[in-house]
Amino acid sequence: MMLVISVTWMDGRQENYPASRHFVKDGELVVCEEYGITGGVKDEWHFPLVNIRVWKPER
Amino acid sequence: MSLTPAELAAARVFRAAQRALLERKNASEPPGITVSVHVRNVRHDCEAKGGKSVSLELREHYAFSPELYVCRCGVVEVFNVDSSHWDCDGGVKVPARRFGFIFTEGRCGCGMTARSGDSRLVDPAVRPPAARAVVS
Repeated sequence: MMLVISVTWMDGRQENYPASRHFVKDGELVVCEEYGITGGVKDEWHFPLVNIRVWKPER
Repeated sequence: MSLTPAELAAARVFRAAQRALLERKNASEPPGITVSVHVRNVRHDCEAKGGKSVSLELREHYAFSPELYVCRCGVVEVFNVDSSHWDCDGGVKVPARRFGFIFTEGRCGCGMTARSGDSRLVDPAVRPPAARAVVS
């Protein structure tokens, strides 16, 4: 099942991102979607946690 | 932590100057892909690899603000003792490195450039440069 993380900015704008991996690093939420079996091909976003609310569905 | 009026004025001027630099760079070297400043890896169909989808890392470019002088008359400029505003009464100096300006840029092996169309103004005490950032 593909996990989708919802990010809501302070102005109420909401964005959804596919995430095969996500973690917090240096005060930022790192959302990563990897493609292919060998990995290496990916999209990755870094969001400042002070500016967002995050909603993650239970798997 | 809130900013003083002088810091706010200095932040606006610094951000506007850095945005203008970024716009000039985008005009002189248009990127192949424009992305959000929050994107760190993006895929593109690389012509050098026969149209195969490859990932491209965008590195952070981090610029610290210089020492700025906010005059009571409203002028904000890089601090300079030769400035005509330096002896205006009631001006405030905003120390260097009080603000940071971030945009991201990356280049694929095929030569295609990806660059952020937007940017971030940050407090270096809260958000210092990332580990592999290009700092200026």
